[in-house]
Amino acid sequence: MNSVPPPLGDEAIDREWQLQERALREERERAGIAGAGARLLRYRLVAGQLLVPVGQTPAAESVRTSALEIERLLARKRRAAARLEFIFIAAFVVAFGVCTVAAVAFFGTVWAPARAALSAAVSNPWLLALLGCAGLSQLIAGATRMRAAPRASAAQ
Amino acid sequence: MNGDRGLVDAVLAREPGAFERLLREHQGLVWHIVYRMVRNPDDAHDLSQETFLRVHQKLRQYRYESALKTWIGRVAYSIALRHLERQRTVLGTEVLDEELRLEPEADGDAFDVTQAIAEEERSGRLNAAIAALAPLPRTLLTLYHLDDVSIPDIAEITGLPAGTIKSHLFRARLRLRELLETSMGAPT
Repeated sequence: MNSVPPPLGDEAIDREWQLQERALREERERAGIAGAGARLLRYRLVAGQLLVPVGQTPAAESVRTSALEIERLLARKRRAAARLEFIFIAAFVVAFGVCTVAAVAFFGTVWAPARAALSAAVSNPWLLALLGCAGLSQLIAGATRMRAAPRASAAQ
Repeated sequence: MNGDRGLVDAVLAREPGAFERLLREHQGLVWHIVYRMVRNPDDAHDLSQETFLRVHQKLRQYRYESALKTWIGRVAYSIALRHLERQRTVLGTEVLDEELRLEPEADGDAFDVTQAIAEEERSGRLNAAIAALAPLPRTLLTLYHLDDVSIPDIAEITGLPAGTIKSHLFRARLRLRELLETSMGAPT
């Protein structure tokens, strides 16, 4: 972050800028005013006034209160978002279940030959073992994710 | 930047007291930006709270491309700016095209400004003059003088070009000096 701002474009203006900067520097260093020209002195008064703290900074003890308030508010928002997410997922699962039951009720007889073929395939023990392993690994991954989520929200 | 990284990681890991430390380290800068922009203490308090709330929510998006202080300052500035825009307050972003007339300092111009007017009265007049500036130059002056933020960092906070910022600072300080002289009846 060392880029230097461009000069103001006129020698007299740039000299005036240098005077303003000198005034600021000397005010920060609390340099004496002996030998300073009137214009520099005026700029030092301006710089001095600009170094006076602004308004009333919040008291130190209220910082802790503010931090706690903000963290509590954010925790409430996160819980509300998690509840909303649960409601949407539950509604989706229920809707999916209802649609499945309706589909079976309407098209069950049409699917009967296909069900018979599926039963024959599923009786193969190797196929059963493969499906079992795939299902188990998905369950373990899901359980790991769910264990991690409550731990994160409990830390709030 | 290492200090920033440690603090950010602590806040994201929700270590006790980490966010309070972040707030404590940056509340001065946020307060200065917001208060200078909106001037009302109650509004400034609410907007400062909103700033830190936003900082906490968006901290995962901070990519260490600038100092944390600059990133937080940018959040504060954008929140204050939106507040002023809602109120349709003139920000003073445009650098006026008026011609600058700089009189050379006369030889022997030893007008003693320190004694021409009582310090308290002088301070009061300058304070009033600073408060009367448009929100943007007023805020730039505070960032540059009081918070010692460099012009490139101010450019990051405000999104304005460095040349524009320098021009605002120059004109505002010139104006304040001239107002000081006028109020004291000093020759300019």
